[in-house]
Amino acid sequence: MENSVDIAIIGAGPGGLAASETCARFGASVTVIDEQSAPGGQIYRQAPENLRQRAEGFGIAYVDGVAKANAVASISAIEWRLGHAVWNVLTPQRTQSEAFLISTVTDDGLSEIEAKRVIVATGCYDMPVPFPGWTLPGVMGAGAIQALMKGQRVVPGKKIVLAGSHPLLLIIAEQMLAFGERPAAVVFSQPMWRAGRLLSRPGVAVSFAEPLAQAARAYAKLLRAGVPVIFSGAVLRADGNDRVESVTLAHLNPATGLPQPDNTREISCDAVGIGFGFTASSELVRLAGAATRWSRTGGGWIAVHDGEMRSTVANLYVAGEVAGIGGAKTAAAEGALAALSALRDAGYGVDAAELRRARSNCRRNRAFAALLQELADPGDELLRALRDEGTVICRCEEITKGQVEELLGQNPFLGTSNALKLLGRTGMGACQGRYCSRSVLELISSATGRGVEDIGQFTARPPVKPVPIHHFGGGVRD
Amino acid sequence: MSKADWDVAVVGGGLVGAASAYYLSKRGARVLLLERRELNGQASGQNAGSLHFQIEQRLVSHGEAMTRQAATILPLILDAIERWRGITAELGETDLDVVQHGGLMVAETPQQVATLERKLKLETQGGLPTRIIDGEELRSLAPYLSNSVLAATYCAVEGHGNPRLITAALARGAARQGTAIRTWTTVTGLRREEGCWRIETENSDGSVRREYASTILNAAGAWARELAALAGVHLPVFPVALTMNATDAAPPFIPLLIQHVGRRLSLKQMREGNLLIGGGWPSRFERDRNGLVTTRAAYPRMESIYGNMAVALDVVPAVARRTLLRSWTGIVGITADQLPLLGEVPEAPGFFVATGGSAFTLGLTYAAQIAELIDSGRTPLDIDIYGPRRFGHLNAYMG
Ligand SMILES: Cc1cc2nc3c(=O)[nH]c(=O)nc-3n(C[C@H](O)[C@H](O)[C@H](O)COP(=O)(O)OP(=O)(O)OC[C@H]3O[C@@H](n4cnc5c(N)ncnc54)[C@H](O)[C@@H]3O)c2cc1C
Ligand SMILES: Cc1cc2nc3c(=O)[nH]c(=O)nc-3n(C[C@H](O)[C@H](O)[C@H](O)COP(=O)(O)OP(=O)(O)OC[C@H]3O[C@@H](n4cnc5c(N)ncnc54)[C@H](O)[C@@H]3O)c2cc1C
Repeated sequence: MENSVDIAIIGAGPGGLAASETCARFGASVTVIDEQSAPGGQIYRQAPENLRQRAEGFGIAYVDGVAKANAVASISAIEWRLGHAVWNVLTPQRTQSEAFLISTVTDDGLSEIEAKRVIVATGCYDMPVPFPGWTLPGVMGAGAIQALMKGQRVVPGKKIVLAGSHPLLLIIAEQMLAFGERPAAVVFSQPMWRAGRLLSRPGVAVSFAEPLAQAARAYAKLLRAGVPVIFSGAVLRADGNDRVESVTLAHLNPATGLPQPDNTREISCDAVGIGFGFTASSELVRLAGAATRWSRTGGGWIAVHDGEMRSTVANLYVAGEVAGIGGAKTAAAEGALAALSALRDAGYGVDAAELRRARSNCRRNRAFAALLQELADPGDELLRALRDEGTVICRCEEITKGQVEELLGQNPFLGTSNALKLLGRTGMGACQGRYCSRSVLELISSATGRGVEDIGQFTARPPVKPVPIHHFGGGVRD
Repeated sequence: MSKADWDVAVVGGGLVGAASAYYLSKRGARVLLLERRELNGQASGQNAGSLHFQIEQRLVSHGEAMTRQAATILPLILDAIERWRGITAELGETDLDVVQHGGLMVAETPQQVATLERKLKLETQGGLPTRIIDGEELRSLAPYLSNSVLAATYCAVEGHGNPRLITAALARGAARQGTAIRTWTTVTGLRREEGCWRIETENSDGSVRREYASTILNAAGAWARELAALAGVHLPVFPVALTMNATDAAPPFIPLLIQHVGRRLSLKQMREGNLLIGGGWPSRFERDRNGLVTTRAAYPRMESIYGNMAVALDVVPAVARRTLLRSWTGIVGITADQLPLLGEVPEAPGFFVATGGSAFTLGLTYAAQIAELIDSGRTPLDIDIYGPRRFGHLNAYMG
């Protein structure tokens, strides 16, 4: 393979950036691919040049992170393929050659990258949580709201309700304040004491002082600004004509954690950000044939890997959220480790001590990640209680929970995500099942009693991102 | 007295197996349907759904002799046209998305037009209502075709079924008539014992079971050869992996099935608006030390995706406005001579087989014929030439 690079890195978030920096340091030929036009990933998502003002509104960590990302971007030894969405990955075994074949699509057409090793650091997306009204325009993932703020410097409303269970809601609300918008409410499903109880565990407060302080600062700032921060609450439904105009907020029963239908009130709003956590973007990992496992609180189907970030497919490595939701620092630690093991496997002289340090750095960060997952977990019972018969489960094909249950009732032999997709079209749309896979799994599980691993996931198929067909017009490529 | 628990054990829960179970149980047989995974999980759920009644491109492109041989299939085709027309009502369903609005097989070169004419002659002799159209008539029937299309044969009863729906409906029908269905159950052993077949199965939960059936029907599709080997006979059925593509949904504009006589293309619009684009483009199997791995999904070759899109763009330029949503693969069983394989294996009494390519279009027909053969020893259509007897030379020395 004349043209193949040593290492291709998919994703230029904290994970991919740490990996690329490490690879460059060892003098390996490395190509970094990201569909965004600038490096940084989700947390350090950048705005176009003409909109980069007021970055400090996102806090010092953001300003530093962006600067760091741009510093990595200026390393001349790294080849950048920004604006390239990866839509297929074939392993060397499948291309019957020495190299992986990575297919990308840009605004201008198709291209391919050959690489002897691949690090997948594709991050995550907002965990989709269906409830009545969640498909109304204006109802979004909380992360998506933040992406609009970071990527376009737009706050998509004047009266935004943020609701869910993830501490990131506090940070996003604080950032809104910095942009001059006061959120209408921030709603957490957990009781107030839950955080305190976790934090009072021995060692926790000390080890994680910095992120905890950040959250506490944000909380205090919101209270000072008069933003209602509500605990033991959940948005039961969103209503509006052409877009969301109000939400119904329920108080959760302290004993069961479930909504009390007789204890609700309406809040008028013009946008809603739902943040119950994140789902790993593991489709490229699966497409390449590598194993994933179900992690209920850690991102859904996440990549299986060894202690040095090797996936179950030879020469394919993973880092960051795709290996389990863990935040930016975990991603960076794993990116560095994945790069070191790829480099070592490629024959570069990697110092054993450096590898050891990288490993223990990952372990430390994963401990925090586990705590965060536990803290952010809304519990499946609550999420299940939020949807009713008429709630759309599959947004692309507009299939409701009731329709899925009816199919399951009529076809008692239906027991896998794939089979439900085939018969019921859930997951057949443009999102490749990213929106519905979790609900589908839960619905099959409650109808059949089958275990998660038996129900499985939708088979990953190319293209992972839809490809405009006119790009194929150049004729057959050899 | 036979100790059989079942009259017939049907192995394979695809279209052919489910339909056979349906027709057999309708005739009053005690039927057991065994499926290794889920119903409709293989070729029957993954195919293009074309109801193609014109003689196929893959058969007309291999010379005169093959084309003539292919024409022998026309009686089965005529049967299939009627079965598909009636199947929704027969199963008591309201809508299985069976569409028979017509189909075109297009030609882009003078040689291809000549092939169409040759094919048309055979079809006319066989009683298939096909005619050749070009010029204004073709343009007004199918304005979305590119100018490169010179002519096409038109068959008014072609169309598509819906691979997502039909097999599940057949299985529901079979179950209503008393068929016992066991999924996640692999047949691992077959042995002739005291005039019936002893069947060993293994469930995915690890449990094993032994039961008896007077007759076995091998409806294992691409795995028919492996299943036959359990019964001690050779059946030359080979697994072939193919690629399919779907686009995003468009407003309805292609009511017909579009196929190509000289290039690999099948194209249709489903009622949800998506275009399904295929035409026999290859996929690859994983390989390991035992050879091809046919128990995992195959993966599409890039050349197939590029190539299939290019043909589609040439023939229907408006495809350029769509996005490719998904490319997937399926595994179909093809016989050594490409003809259906239908009948009892003479060397293994009571062991029947029903398989062959294009068993979506012809699956109901295969199933109805084999059910009648098993039940009464006769069939209304002459299926002798498709019998396993023609591969007797492979089994002459099997003990
Ligand atoms: C919308 C959103 C906002 C978030 N905001 C914060 C925050 O403010 N603070 C915080 O601590 N955490 C935040 N998170 C969590 C955040 O993902 C991590 O903290 C951190 O960004 C993870 O780093 P990563 O390298 O694993 O992935 P990411 O930073 O997500 O980077 C993955 C990169 O891969 C690219 N990519 C994915 N798939 C493909 C493909 N097929 N082809 C090409 N490129 C691809 C993406 O464009 C992205 O740039 C957010 C998550 C989301 C989804
Ligand atoms: C991509 C593609 C496109 C196609 N397009 C068309 C088309 O447009 N029109 C058309 O007419 N035909 C088409 N075909 C062909 C058609 O799909 C097949 O001929 C037909 O579906 C075969 O049905 P079947 O029931 O024999 O096999 P299958 O549907 O494959 O069913 C066989 C079943 O047997 C089971 N099995 C195997 N071994 C065992 C065992 N030991 N124990 C228990 N169960 C077992 C398997 O798990 C499987 O479910 C296409 C095929 C493919 C792959």
